[in-house]
Amino acid sequence: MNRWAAVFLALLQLVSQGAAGAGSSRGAWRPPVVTRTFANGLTVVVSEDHSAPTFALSTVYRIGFRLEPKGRSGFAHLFEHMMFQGTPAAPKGVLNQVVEGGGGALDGTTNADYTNYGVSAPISALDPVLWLEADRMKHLDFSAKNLQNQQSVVQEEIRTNVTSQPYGLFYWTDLNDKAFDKWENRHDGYGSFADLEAATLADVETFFNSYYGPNNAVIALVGDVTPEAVFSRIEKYFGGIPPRPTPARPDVAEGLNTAPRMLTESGALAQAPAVAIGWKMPARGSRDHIPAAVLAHLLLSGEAARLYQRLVRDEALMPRLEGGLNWPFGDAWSYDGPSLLVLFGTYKTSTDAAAVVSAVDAVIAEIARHGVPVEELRRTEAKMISDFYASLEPPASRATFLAVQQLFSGRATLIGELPAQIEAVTSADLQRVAATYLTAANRTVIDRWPVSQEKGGLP
Amino acid sequence: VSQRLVAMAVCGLLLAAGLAVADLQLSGELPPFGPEKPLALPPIAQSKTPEGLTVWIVRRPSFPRVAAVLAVRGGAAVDPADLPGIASLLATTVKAGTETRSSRQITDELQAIGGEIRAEATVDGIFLTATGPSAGVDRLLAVLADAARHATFPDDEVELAKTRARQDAESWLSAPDTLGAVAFARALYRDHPYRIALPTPSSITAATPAILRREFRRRFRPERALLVVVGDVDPVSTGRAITAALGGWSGVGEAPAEIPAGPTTATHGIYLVDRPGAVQSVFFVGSTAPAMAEADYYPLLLANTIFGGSPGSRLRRNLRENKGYSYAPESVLAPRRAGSRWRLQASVRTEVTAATLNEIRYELDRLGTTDVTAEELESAKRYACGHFLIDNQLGSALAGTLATSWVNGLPPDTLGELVSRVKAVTLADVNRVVRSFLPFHRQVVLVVGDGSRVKQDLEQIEPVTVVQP
Repeated sequence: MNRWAAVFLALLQLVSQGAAGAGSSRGAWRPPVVTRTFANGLTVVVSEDHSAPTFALSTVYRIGFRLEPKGRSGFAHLFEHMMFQGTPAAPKGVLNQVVEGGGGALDGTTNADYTNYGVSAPISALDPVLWLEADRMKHLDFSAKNLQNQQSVVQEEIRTNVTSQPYGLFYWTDLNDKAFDKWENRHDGYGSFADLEAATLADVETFFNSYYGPNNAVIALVGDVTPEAVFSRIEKYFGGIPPRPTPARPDVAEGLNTAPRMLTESGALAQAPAVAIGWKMPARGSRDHIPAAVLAHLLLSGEAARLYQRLVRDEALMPRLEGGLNWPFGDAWSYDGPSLLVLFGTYKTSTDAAAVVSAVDAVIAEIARHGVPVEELRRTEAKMISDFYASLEPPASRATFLAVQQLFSGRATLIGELPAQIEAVTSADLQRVAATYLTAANRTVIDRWPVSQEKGGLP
Repeated sequence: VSQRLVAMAVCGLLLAAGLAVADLQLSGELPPFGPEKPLALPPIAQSKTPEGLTVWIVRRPSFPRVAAVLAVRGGAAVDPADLPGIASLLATTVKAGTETRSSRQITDELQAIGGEIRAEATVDGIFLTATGPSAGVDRLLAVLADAARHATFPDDEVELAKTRARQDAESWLSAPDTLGAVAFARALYRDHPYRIALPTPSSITAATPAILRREFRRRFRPERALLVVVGDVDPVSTGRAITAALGGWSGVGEAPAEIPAGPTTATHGIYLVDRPGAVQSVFFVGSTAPAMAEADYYPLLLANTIFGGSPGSRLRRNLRENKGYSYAPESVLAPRRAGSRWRLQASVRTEVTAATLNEIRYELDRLGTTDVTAEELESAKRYACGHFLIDNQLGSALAGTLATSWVNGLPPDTLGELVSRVKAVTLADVNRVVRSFLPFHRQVVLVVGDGSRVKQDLEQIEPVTVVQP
């Protein structure tokens, strides 16, 4: 689509948004989306929102821990830290000083399939912030001192978020390791201390040159801006950055598992036994993807969810449970490779993991056999769409959604299409997805016991 | 009893979060900041029911969602002496069934409109937050009001909540951040009701539906409650929905007593909670601070931003960017009704525990012995004003900010004044308050860590008292 067509469509969307009014129900809100790709391959998505004199910027690169180099587990995340360590033109400290002095906030997050750099600030800070974002796409300060500093900081991050926590993210690291076969999908994205310490400046430089070029990035800007004002600034600040060759993406796809997988382990800090269950799920964008997302919501989201009602209320096996598709570090829309539907919770010492698994199986079998009543499906879809909108209300997460969808599939416009796609899912879709993916053969279970009361496991 | 709200007064004071402070000098090729653009925040339509419920409505048409917070004054600080922390159990069970709706009915009814209700207890209040599409606002308010007026605390729901609370209390014993927060509150507040941070196992065991019903009647009463609605709603028709849902609500029996004023000084000391085998030590360092209504609050807010309240702060530059000791050291000024609390938290590897305390002491006393610079203050002002805009972008966040401000006893225009109050702070103000409130010798220091590896080193600085978790 040429850009004038895009602008025209965006205007139409603005008009229809205005017409929907305050009393509109689900499916009516469509933010304007205008996209342009520049000569160096950088793609930019703009969504105007003039409700406050602020902007949210999301710069995403198509690299995450799934594709970090073997023997360098945790490197994508360590590298993300290096993006805040200054450049030859803006030494360490300047970025923080400018964003904070501009009244804004910045962060970085590394995921399996993308790395996001976010800035939110009053609109007066737009020019210096874009300049700084372009500056760190151009070059970095490859300094041994900064690398060493961030190797320490990342190790403290892991000690804080993993080692010192009772369940230490085992429902992420250990579950992936057990459920998947390829290193890319299995390994711990936080990384081992040995791998982190082995990282060299040459690794940092190679990674930057390979994955951080404009052609491997998408920028989304949401807020008190117009597309033309953004595009002219992008041309000015980013236009001179040459594209860099990006390594070919390896094939990371895996088939569904053909036999159940089970692991019993122990943890030092936990007081209660816990179970994590994962099933390999359909690829993003496939025919089964949206039905799988709806099924995940129906099974696991909130107190109306089937598994909550059965395991927490009716059978009182667990005090609470949580999980979802691509949980805990993403959602149903933010993965681009093999992903799991995950359930995690502690269970009562009066029961065991086998009883939890069989109760879960019974709930799944019921859906696979009979589908779900239309009233329950409608309620689930209504809440799911409502949650989707709620997730888009913060401009920063709206910008991330737009950038990530554009990065994965060139379809930032999914933002306006997803509600209708969710509403189109039928009971038969859920039956099919439950029967295909949520099978015993495709299931991985980890039963984790406190060291003090170690025992048990599945029969 | 009249079922009508008294006439609405519109308060337009939530205005103009303009950021016209002096420009920071940016270096080299960096383009300068553009002109400041003030934000005209929407007005608050204020009213009161004849029974005394305060109602605030803020119309924000930019996004098709709504948030309604029903806040009651009466959190953990008014828990009976033999039931410390019961407020959080009350919060989780108040939405678990009413005279006409079972827990399951509430869940399904809300799900059908895409809504949900969350509940939270703080030391000062209990907050029920209902969110959903703005099209469902009437239904959302009806369910919210039903819980606030007619909660029944069914036996099985209370039992489930107790089971969870018991397990949470157990897991807190293995989570160093919670363990430390509880022990810190005790060391800081001693006999003041703010010493309670979480429910104790004995309160959980003692709780019954009858006790929860009693505490519910004591605290959920209109003259001690605020309903604030923020979102894409029409104030007039929403006012009618509120009248239908909450008109005639009146309190019976005796209300909780006022929370006594918090201590104005803390007893300095280094306390250690022993956690054998811990790979990190977690620091909690802090003291009592002025309430939001006091003159020193805003200077201290900016001093906190400079010291440890922002990613570029002195504490973070030192412990993270320079030393690599800690991932996310941070300090927070938390406003409370009976006096605020200032506290820093930092997790560091065991080997550098005493070295970290040395740096914390250095940074605190550097504040009091050398002056904060004009550049630091200007940057902190811009940071504080900008974050006020960004932090309240969400309807639910703005509703929560307004409700907290009301529970803290502040008038509705307080938020609208934030920017001008921040801008009016002078260097002399900041340099005064850091000397009053932030010297190291005024702070309570609590460390959760492996005593066998950290106690001796810490004693190089000062005597250490070992306390029970």
